[in-house]
Amino acid sequence: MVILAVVLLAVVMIGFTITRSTGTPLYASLGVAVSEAIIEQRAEEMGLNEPIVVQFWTYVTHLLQGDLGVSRISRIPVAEDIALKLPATAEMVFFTLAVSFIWAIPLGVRAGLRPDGKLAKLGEGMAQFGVSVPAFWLGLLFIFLLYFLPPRLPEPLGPLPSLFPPPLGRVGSGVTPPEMVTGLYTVDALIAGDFRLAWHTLWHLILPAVTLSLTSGPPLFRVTRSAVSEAVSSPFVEAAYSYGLGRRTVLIRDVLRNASPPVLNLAAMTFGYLIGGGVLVEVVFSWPGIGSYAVWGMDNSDYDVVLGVVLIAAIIYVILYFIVDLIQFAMDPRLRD
Amino acid sequence: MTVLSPQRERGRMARVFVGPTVGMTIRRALFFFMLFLAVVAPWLDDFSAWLPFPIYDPLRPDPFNPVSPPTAEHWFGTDTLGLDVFTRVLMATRVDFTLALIGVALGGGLGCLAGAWAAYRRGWVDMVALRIVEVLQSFPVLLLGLAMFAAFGSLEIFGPVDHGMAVLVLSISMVNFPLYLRQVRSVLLPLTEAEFVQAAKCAGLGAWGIVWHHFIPNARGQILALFPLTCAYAIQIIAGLSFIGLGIEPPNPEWGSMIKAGATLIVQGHWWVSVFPGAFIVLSVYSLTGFSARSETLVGPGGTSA
Repeated sequence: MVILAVVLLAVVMIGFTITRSTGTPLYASLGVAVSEAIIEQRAEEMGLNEPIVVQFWTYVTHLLQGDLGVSRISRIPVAEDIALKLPATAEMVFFTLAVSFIWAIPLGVRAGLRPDGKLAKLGEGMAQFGVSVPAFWLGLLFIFLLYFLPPRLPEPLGPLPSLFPPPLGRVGSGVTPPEMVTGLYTVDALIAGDFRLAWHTLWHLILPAVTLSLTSGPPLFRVTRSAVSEAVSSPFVEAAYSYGLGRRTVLIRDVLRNASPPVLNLAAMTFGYLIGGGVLVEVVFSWPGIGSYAVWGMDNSDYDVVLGVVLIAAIIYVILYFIVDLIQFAMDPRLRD
Repeated sequence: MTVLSPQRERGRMARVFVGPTVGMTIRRALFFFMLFLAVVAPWLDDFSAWLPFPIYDPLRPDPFNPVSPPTAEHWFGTDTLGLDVFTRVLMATRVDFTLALIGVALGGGLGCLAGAWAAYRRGWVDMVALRIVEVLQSFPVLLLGLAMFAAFGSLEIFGPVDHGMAVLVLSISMVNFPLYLRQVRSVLLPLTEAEFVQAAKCAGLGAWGIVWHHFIPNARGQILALFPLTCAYAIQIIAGLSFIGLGIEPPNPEWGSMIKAGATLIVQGHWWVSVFPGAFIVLSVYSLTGFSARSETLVGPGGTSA
């Protein structure tokens, strides 16, 4: 717990130093055609003339009250904006993990059971591909292949115009998002009982989720594979067989159960990581999450925005790390000694 | 004077090119081919008469031939300004490889030293080192890069060195420092009590002497195994940051910024501007994995990408 606090404090300090070391970003918000006096007045207003220690103290106390500062461009509190955009990112990451659970885990289990089988080779191939390919490029490629590769008719007619616009953003233009309950559009649409809208939002989720899953799933595949193959060759599985238990029973009761902790651990870490790690995919798919928000802040030299996102992402990651540790500790009696 | 037998020397050289499996050997050959192209890229223009492919000035636009699809004159087509994508992809290889190498060498080198120091000293030094690793690794990599660019945004402290490139290199080092620190430390930790260390201590060798002469050489295998993987990873980070407009300013050739330039074209069906640079990223990363016997990778949490 103390370590957690120390790590978080250090994270905040680094973030703070980074953004305050940049000099006055006031020109960015006021433009260059203003007098020194106005600049000076704004600097005073924003507390930029205080000593750095005081500024840091103000920042930390505000931070503890959930105040991340105000965007210098839009004048909206950063915390509010992040609260609005975090569900979008969380939804994308949830579905990314769901997609990974569909391909990476089964293939990993199969590869652990039959290391030389065709499916093991397929999984290894996908993993190899997934780590080599940059996610943002893969996303662009998907958009192009699925939506803009014009179907060609014989020569006098030439290429056809593309029929469907790609599903960019969370909902298509002209579609009203569902009423906010959880902030996850698919869930909100289901709560509202609007199945068409739920399908629509799901449709917009698929491409980013598949893209992110292909590039973030390989570690899951590999960990599953090694956990399963280790469990299969362990003495307790041999013992279970010698009791005369069937293959299926042993697989579920002994192999999968024993192989699951490292996999679930990694899945949780992947979740925490992707909250801030999906920036480029968000940009490619115009997904209005915190990653796009950070890039927007960066483009406008709005460093409170950048720092806010970086902090939130890092804090989520650290806290998740801590929780995973706790769960592991509670689940595995061997760790308690 | 010690002379290594020529036989042994040849064997050592060959082991760099020939991997344990055929696939790895092919990947290594691919890598050395790309490395060769990267090295000679600026001089290709002088030898264009002997080359099978046409080569152009990567920065001179051809206003009469914008957005041309791949042809015999422009193998990879041209972009909106009429710049030849093929030439630019080759030049970008040079840029990306160099930046990745410098960044990894800088951060990794410091990480190795810090890791060895932490393993030797243990106690509170070790504690502090591990905390630093944890703090650095709790930032998602690209956001760390973003924060670095925010930090150095208006500070012109690199003198003649290109600002964006310098910050890119620093970001890469920040990512690699904890990776190497953790790896080296975990390998060397059991060696602290080893007899040869005790002997060196008795012989009067100082702490840095032991770290330098006895610890680092013992971690060499691990460091060499990590090196190609981290370089591959660094290339992806550089391209990713350039993709959101940080680092290398267009029109200078770089894979990520080229993909960005092509992103608006790809939705009009002009795929070549983005696809070829991306394919080169994939090829370079894939070829680098030919140097690592370990199948695990760095992408993802704990290891740490986009």
